[in-house]
Amino acid sequence: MAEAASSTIEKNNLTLKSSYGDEFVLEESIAIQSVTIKNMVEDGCSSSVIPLSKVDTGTLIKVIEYMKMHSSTSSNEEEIQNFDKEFVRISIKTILNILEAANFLDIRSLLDLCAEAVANRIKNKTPEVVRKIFNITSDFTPEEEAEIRNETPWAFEGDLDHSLD
Amino acid sequence: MISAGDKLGGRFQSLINISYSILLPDGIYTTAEAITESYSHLMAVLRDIIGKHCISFTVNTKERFLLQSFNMMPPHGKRQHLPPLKVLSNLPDSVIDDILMRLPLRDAVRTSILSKKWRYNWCRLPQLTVDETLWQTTKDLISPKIKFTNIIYHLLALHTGPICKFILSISDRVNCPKIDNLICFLSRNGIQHLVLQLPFRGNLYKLPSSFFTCSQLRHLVLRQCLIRSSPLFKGFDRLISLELGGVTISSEFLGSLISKCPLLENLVLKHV
Repeated sequence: MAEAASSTIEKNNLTLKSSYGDEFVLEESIAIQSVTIKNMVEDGCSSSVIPLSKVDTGTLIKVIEYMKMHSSTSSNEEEIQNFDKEFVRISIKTILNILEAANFLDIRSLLDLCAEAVANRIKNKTPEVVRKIFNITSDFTPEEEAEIRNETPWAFEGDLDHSLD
Repeated sequence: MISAGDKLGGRFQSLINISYSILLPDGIYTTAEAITESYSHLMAVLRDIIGKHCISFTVNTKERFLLQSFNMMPPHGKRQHLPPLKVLSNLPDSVIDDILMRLPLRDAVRTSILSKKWRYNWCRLPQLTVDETLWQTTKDLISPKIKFTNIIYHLLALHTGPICKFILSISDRVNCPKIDNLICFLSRNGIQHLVLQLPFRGNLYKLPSSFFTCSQLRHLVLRQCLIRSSPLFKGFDRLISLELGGVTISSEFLGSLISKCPLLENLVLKHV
């Protein structure tokens, strides 16, 4: 109880450490948007540094930027919407890194935002383009591919977008 | 060499100051092409530049940074695109599902051809929306009804696992196809949120008795259909919201239906 009382009086800070060893100090009230961090705080594991072995420095900076904006009391809904819109105007690789971090840190709104952004970039694209975007190598033979196309031909019909953007 | 180094330094500094990004822009290759010295010489130059410009970096990060930079150097200084650091296939299944669920069904199903790993990812999606965008993609002569029937057959044959949410939307331009099997399939796969938007043309579609066994239903929207009482109906214990539009139902059964939904909070009736 005593611990709980003291934490409400002073502003608690947490230190997050990226997989590259860089440390970031963040207010606890901002950091606990991450359910993973919140659970750690509640379990009393947050006295020292919280190591985030799955999140690299660049990604962690973006995640912190997002959490700061979304916990800010001074910004209104429209500002946050605009922020989100701009936030995902980055390379698909960076979005995927943030998506994975959001999944690990359990920040639902950030995960939703990034998943939506990824979906928007695959929408209506040819399989060849989607493979290129995500660096997937097909391990099907041409016969197998033909079989898959035949299985659900309606999914492959119509005008598909050949452009990468 | 020194001028090339300065250019690199500027690159790194701006990159690190802005975002600490590990991904280097394409521009670095232009500079790299100019460097014909050995790898060790290049490393020494990079180390020197990073030492000068990013004092706040820990040694650990610096080393990684150097390694990353080196890995990205294409052989013989040839300009080429960066290999992506992350591949979509490495994402956890739950995250792949999060992406697929935000795609129209047609796009989600198309991912089956990407690779063996992706082959059946869409088949476990718990939310499906079937609407006319699926069968009106080409101008061929196959009737929408046949196409629709094929699509439903493919979905039922390939899908595995629970389906929590199913939206079926058929426009007024076609006669309602038989969807009894679909409803039966959903009733046995834990459907919680069902939307049936059926066409107005022809006779109203009569809900099959299997509909009344959808005991997990929480949200239900029915438009243009015929509901007849059924001995199988024991109530929708979990139903929270119910919307009926253009539905034909006897007033007695409507009363019975509503009274057997103890958790019902939202009720919308239009042209019933």
